[in-house]
Amino acid sequence: MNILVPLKPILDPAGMIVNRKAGRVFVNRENYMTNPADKRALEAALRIKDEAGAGVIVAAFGPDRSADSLLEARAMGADRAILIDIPSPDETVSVHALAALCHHLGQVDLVIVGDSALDTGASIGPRLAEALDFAFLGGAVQCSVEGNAARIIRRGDSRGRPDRASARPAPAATAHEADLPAVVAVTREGAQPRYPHGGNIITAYRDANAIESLSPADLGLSDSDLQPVAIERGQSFPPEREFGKQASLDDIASVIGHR
Amino acid sequence: MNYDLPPEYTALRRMMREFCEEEIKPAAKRIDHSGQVPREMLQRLGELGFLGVPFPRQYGGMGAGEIGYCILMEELNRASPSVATIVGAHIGIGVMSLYLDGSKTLQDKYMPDLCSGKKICAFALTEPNAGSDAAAIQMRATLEGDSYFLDGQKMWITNGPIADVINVLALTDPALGARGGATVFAVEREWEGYSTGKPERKMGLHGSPTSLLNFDNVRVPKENIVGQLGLGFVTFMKTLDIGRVSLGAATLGGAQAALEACVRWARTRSQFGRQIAHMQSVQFIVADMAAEIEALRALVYRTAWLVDTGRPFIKEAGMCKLLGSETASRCIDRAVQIHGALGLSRDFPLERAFRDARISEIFEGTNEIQRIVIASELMQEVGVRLRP
Amino acid sequence: MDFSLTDEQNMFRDLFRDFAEKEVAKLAEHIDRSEEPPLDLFRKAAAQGFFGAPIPEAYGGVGIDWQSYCMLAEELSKHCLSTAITIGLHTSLAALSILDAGSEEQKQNYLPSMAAAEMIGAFALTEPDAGSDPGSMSTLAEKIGDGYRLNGTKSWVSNGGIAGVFVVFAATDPKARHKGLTAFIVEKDTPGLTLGYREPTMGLRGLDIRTMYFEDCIVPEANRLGAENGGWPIILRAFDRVRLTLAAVSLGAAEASLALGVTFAAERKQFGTQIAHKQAIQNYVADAAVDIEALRGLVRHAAWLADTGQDFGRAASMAKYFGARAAQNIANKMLQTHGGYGFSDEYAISRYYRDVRALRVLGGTDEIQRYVVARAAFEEKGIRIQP
Ligand SMILES: Cc1cc2nc3c(=O)[nH]c(=O)nc-3n(C[C@H](O)[C@H](O)[C@H](O)COP(=O)(O)OP(=O)(O)OC[C@H]3O[C@@H](n4cnc5c(N)ncnc54)[C@H](O)[C@@H]3O)c2cc1C
Ligand SMILES: Cc1cc2nc3c(=O)[nH]c(=O)nc-3n(C[C@H](O)[C@H](O)[C@H](O)COP(=O)(O)OP(=O)(O)OC[C@H]3O[C@@H](n4cnc5c(N)ncnc54)[C@H](O)[C@@H]3O)c2cc1C
Repeated sequence: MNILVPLKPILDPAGMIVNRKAGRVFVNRENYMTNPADKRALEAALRIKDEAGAGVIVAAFGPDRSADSLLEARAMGADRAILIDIPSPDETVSVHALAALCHHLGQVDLVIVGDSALDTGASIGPRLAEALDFAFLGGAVQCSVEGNAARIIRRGDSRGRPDRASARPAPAATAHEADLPAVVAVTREGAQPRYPHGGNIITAYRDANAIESLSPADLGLSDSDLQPVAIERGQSFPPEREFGKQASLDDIASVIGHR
Repeated sequence: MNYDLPPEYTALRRMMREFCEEEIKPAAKRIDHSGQVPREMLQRLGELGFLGVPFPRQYGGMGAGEIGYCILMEELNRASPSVATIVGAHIGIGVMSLYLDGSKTLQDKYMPDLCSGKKICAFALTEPNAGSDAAAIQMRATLEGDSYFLDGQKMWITNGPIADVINVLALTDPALGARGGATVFAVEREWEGYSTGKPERKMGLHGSPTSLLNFDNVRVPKENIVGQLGLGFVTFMKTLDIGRVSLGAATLGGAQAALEACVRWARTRSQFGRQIAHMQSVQFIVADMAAEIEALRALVYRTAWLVDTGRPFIKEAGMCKLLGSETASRCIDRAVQIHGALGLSRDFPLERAFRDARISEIFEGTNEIQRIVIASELMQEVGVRLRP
Repeated sequence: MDFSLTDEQNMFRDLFRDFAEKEVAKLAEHIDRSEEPPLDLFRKAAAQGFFGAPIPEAYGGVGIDWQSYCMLAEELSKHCLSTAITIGLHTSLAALSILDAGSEEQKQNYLPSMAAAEMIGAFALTEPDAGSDPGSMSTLAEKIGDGYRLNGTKSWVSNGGIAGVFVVFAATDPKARHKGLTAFIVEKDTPGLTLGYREPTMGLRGLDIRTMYFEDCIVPEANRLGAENGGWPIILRAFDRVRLTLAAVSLGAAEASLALGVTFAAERKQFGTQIAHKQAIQNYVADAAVDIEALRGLVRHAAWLADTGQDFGRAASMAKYFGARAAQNIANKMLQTHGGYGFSDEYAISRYYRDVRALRVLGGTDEIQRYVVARAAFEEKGIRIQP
């Protein structure tokens, strides 16, 4: 069984300051890290590998900034790392390229993705499932493979959002299953990623073949597949949220009376 | 010339920093109060290869050389000097003497367990009457049949109370004295006649246990000689030479943490209606710290590079320890100053840092001895031989 | 010009030294470990007049001069800094502020029991957000009827937990900053005054340092110390006194550290001789002795200025700044002389090393002392610098 995990390097938010007045984000330290949800997706894949045995393949877009994410994944236990030579693709292009990669690799039974990117908020899971015609399971905090099915645990909303029909609080956790092949999206509440053994870091970085490179042509992608759909026009901030009002006892009483 | 560290070291540092920030730093205060580093934490360090950074993969090490080891010590010491000291005595001088001079059999026997954290190592040189003058040791090892019998006392031994394997220097030929008549033995804690004193009460490094070791006719098989008979002093001095580089790296981590604390506090604290960051007295303190730390960093990593590339490094290693320990003490002292009364409060980490840092000017050869080492190396270049 | 001590001063010094050696020395380690202020010892000291040394005899004190009082601080700190500072702050900050600014009635009321250590004094100035800059304090004193209502928090109040009486500063006119501060005498059991957290500290562990909370604490007008909005000059004069006192404490600490180092170096043998024969050690000892003599000169000079009624603020600041740094340097070098033993709690030098560090912070940080000294230098040129 093969599991593909796409990884996205993002700017480390610890090195940034958001200045609303100036309407800008200031980058004090340009540091990249693997998108946290993606890293949890990788951990989920590695746990399946540990328990059931599987080949774990990680992929990222490059050429810049992705090497660290890929090599770190190799050190953590990924079997192959693939750098797709498309610099900063948008969501649509990413989905095209990842779908093409699955076809190129053949026999990808499971794709585990992070459920959203910390920087853009983008979420490629459902679209990738659609493009591949795989089943989709989102919101996973745990993922396993049982027989020919992917099984996930989804945690209920911690605030216990009421189920509208029955007006009962949602249960704490639910299990969901889908037949393979499938795409699973893991949230940031997924299992804590492991620390790689230091020796594996050294080995991965010193291995000239640790990362395989694939061009769009290798994947059979045409120019039109590489056309971004989204265009960045500029940046702005959402309006500042207003403070709530502190309700007085009378206010509350009147609301209750109203009911 | 290329000052860039290869990217694997940057990645290694990233991982070590993350681990130390998340798993060690939150426990540092508890470690100081309880006087103990939990054994599971050491085990965890072993699992990730931290306890064998400079040693080959085949022994469960990381194969990351002196540079990798310096990075580890820098990061550990930022988080908890007690943990760093346990690890430093374990790897930097303990296992190091086995690795430098031990036989293949001994290395195979002990190194895998030591690198994985199953066993902890100690380095036992100092005696009541042999501190700086290490050659004045009196501990005896007498040959009977194919075993040696060790008799005597070691003191101030880091990891003493927790060590499973102890590398100890004893006189095998008292007539020749330490230089030529001393031998290193690897002793296991369960062996009869071996016992440890109660942990010393110290000003700092409360989590790093230090104690007396008693050897009461402890039988040690010949195979447990580390290096060559009669050349133990050389083995130990070589070990200490290399240990000084990583000790310098540890002090670098302590100094850097102090600098970062100052910068944060100078931004947070206001007096006279503005952040103290705007006071020149405070700015100059921060600037001096940063400059000294940069100089130290350059020295430490250049020396580590000398070690990894097989060049001579003894003088530079002494400099790492000397400059590093004094820079760290000075920087932490200034950080206390910038924090005002809070710097002296036990609720704040700087007070602990201040107590923990001081020992680096003393152990692994006092700074006076380092000055003698450096001066001797310099004088030797012009043909003058100095005696301590 | 005459630098010799008078017979009387010599006699006092011998008395202090004798007491310190016989009574204080044996307790010092216990005080540090148990972190308890030695109340019995304080009673004995008070019986000898040490809690009211510079207070005039009319108010139950001994009425000794500054030169002798500095020697008291010096001799006590040769054995235990916590004790020296407890007595020093009680006297220089609390009691002498009452003597300085109090009405006759207040002096009669408080000074005799303070001199007898029935009421230990404390000085509550610092606040969480007002350390070096007391003018920014936020404890408020509102005038109500024939008294004041105090609200606010004071931190780092030495002797807080054992004090019977506090000299407290609060803003009566907050907009005027330091010109709107007023001093009050507040007794321990006054309703609305609660003692908080005991500060855990690196050194001076026998000193009971507290946070204090004032919640609608009513202080009668009769307990206002000095004029309304007249607190600032009281603070400045207290600073002058405490700086001189702490300089004398530094001197004692430095001398004690040097003595410990010299004794150790004379006994410890390495490389076949006493380490006293090593030049490295000789250099530490020599540098320390030079600093100590220079410091003694600064302290004596400032005390002489004080005794002759001259302005001694600048001299006290210099002595305190020089003294605190010298004491730390010397404790550091003497710890070094002890080798590994210096790092052990079994040797007194490690306690000195932890204790002296506070001298560079309390009573005004090094940076503030340098400001005071620089201010005086620039004032002569007609330039007024701000902290
Ligand atoms: C926390 C701690 C952990 C330790 N861990 C270990 C350990 O794991 N293994 C181990 O073997 N030892 C260990 N030690 C011992 C340490 O290495 C010694 O304390 C150190 O070597 C100094 O020896 P000493 O304390 O006997 O000082 P001394 O040698 O007695 O020195 C006293 C003073 O004299 C000075 N001096 C001595 N000779 C000369 C000279 N020729 N010229 C100028 N000055 C001189 C010294 O610099 C020092 O200032 C540890 C000590 C401590 C405190
Ligand atoms: C042991 C001990 C006992 C004490 N006892 C008492 C007591 O009995 N009563 C009492 O009222 N207080 C007491 N204090 C408090 C002491 O007076 C204050 O700690 C001191 O005034 C410094 O204030 P801070 O700690 O808030 O430091 P801050 O004022 O916050 O200073 C932080 C740093 O900024 C620097 N800084 C501040 N302003 C300037 C400037 N303008 N220019 C340059 N640098 C500047 C300082 O020098 C320091 O390095 C005690 C403190 C200690 C440690």
